Amino acid sequence: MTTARDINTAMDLPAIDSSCGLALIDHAGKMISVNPAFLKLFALPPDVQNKTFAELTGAMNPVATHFLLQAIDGEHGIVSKRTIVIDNKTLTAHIIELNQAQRLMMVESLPASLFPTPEINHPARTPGTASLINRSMLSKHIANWKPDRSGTVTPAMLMIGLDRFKRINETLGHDSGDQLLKFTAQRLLRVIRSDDIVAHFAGDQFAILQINQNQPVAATTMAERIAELLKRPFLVNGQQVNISASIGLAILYQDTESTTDLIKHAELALYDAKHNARGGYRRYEQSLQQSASEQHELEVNLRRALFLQEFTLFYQPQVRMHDKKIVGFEALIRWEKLGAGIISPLRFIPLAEDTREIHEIGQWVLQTACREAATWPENIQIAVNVSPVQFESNNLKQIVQAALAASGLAPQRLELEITEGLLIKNMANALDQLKEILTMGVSVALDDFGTGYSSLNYLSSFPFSKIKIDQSFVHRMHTDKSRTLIKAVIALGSALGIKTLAEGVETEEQFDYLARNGCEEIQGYLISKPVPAEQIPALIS
Amino acid sequence: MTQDLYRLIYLSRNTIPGSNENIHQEIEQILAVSRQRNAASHITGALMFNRECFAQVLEGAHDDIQETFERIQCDPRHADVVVLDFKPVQTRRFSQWSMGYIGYDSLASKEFTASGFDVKQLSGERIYDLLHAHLYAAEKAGSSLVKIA
Repeated sequence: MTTARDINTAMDLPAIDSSCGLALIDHAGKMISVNPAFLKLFALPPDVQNKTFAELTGAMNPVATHFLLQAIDGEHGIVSKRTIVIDNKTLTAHIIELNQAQRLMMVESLPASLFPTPEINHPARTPGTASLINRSMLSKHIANWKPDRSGTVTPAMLMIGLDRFKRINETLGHDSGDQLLKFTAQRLLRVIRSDDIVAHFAGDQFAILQINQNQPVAATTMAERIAELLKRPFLVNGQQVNISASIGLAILYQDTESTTDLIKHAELALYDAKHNARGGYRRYEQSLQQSASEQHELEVNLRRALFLQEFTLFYQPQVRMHDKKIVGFEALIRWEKLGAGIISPLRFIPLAEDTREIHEIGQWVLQTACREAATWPENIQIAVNVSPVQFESNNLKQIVQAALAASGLAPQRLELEITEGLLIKNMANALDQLKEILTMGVSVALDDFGTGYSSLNYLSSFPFSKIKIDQSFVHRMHTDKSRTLIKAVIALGSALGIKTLAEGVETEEQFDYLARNGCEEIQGYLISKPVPAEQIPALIS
Repeated sequence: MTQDLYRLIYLSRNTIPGSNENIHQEIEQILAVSRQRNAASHITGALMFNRECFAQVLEGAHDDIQETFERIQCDPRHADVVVLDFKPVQTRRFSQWSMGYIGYDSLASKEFTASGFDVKQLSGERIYDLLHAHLYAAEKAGSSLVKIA
């Protein structure tokens, strides 16, 4: 390190008596030499040589520590300038890159009023988050990590995602959202240890890297503390705001083998937390990687399934109880992928709704079902499931109309099956669309009744043609509770003049009980499992 | 908005462990620090403590309250913070106190608990009035409260 010594001697910093703070820092953030003003500005003890800022200030000044980390790591050119407010002092620092190993920092203190606030300098960033390092700097920190000799400590990554943050932006405005991010950053800076590193990872996502602590205790304790702390109310723009955070953890050598995977694994754990432990934390485990890959593969395959004609419709007969005649069929989608076998709709429909692929798939189902049903005797109905997402583009009526026109099917033979979920989300708009569909002559059934809110309000808000009693009640018919519920729904239907159909009927005993209590139609393995289109003529005859 | 006068009323659960004496010491320290800080940022207010809970009123500029509250939020000596009220006001009612204090042996504090109230059912307005009335009475009577207030 001849160069270091050369510069050090060339610039005898401790002897420079200036109001400007001067420090020579190596690439790892260790002080090589500083002048008295620098010690004073950051309230440091006299002996700082070979120590990092974090070691010197302890937990006292995380904001300043981050400021210095930034100064060292920043992807700046030969000279860069940064500002920070510490203890009501605005500090501005010029950082000069002397060579690969050394930076000279010059820090001046300005009265706050003389200096533009960081908000003005960076309108898109808030002071709280701007004082944090970003994602690429975080990656560098991890890449530079070397195991210590004792081997007792290992880095841990906490990935922190704010829940429902988008909602705050939408309801209270982006200014409130920015303030919330700022306060979140400040709360994180207040709870970390001085050698932890906080990064503003992405919009509503923060990361904490714990470097020198005993794991997993330190990481799980910190995760619990942060989850609790971010649940506490914030005061933003004159009002109280409540949010929560979900946290994903990945710990090197315990959960994750290499430093390069640490961020990715913490993100996967965060994804898991958001879905399965919202407001709490999850640790990374290998199955998360696997399920993420599977989910990704499923998504990719789903995108091309329509084009590759991997979907088919199966049809399950609906039978009138008093004469056991088939009066209709429910169209059920089936996805068979070469090499992967049959993929359950329970897996791919939620994904299709997420990716909005359900619009195309739903349209295809309507067209195909109508075309098929047009070949059946005229007294046989076709029931088609419609996802709440299909109502979002406000053109379901046109899609239904087109399917009817193309197939020549009489509208009276088509029944759409919707679930309560549709009405919960945006009842007025959904009802408007349903009423328009009704005027075409198409009828609407309420599916899965009894599993959700089962609100009487929904039943009275629209002239449903049918209530479908969910199969879970039929399967549990041996319990008093289920029997009572089934009886109540049938009675409700008859009082409101709505037909009831029980799903999932498998035994004669179930059939008899339902018939005795006035249920009008059934569907289930007792009659037939769902069959491909070509088997329908045989069933009807 | 930032300089407008606001008032904040919140409740939180005490998490200071140990003996009465220990709790008392911690609270003395909380008061000392908050009085110093509040004076610097022109915040006035009062704190009431009844062994299980803190009830606090803060008055000041919106941004100063915001900043003070954030600091309070990160204090590990309490939890389960419930904001009862945060709204603009015309005048300060606690302008004499950078942080008035009513301890758990006081009459005011007894009014919180002895009457069988669930503290969390108390309205912000009632806490506000209670704190004000008792601090004011204590001051008039020249009680020792004034010395620490």
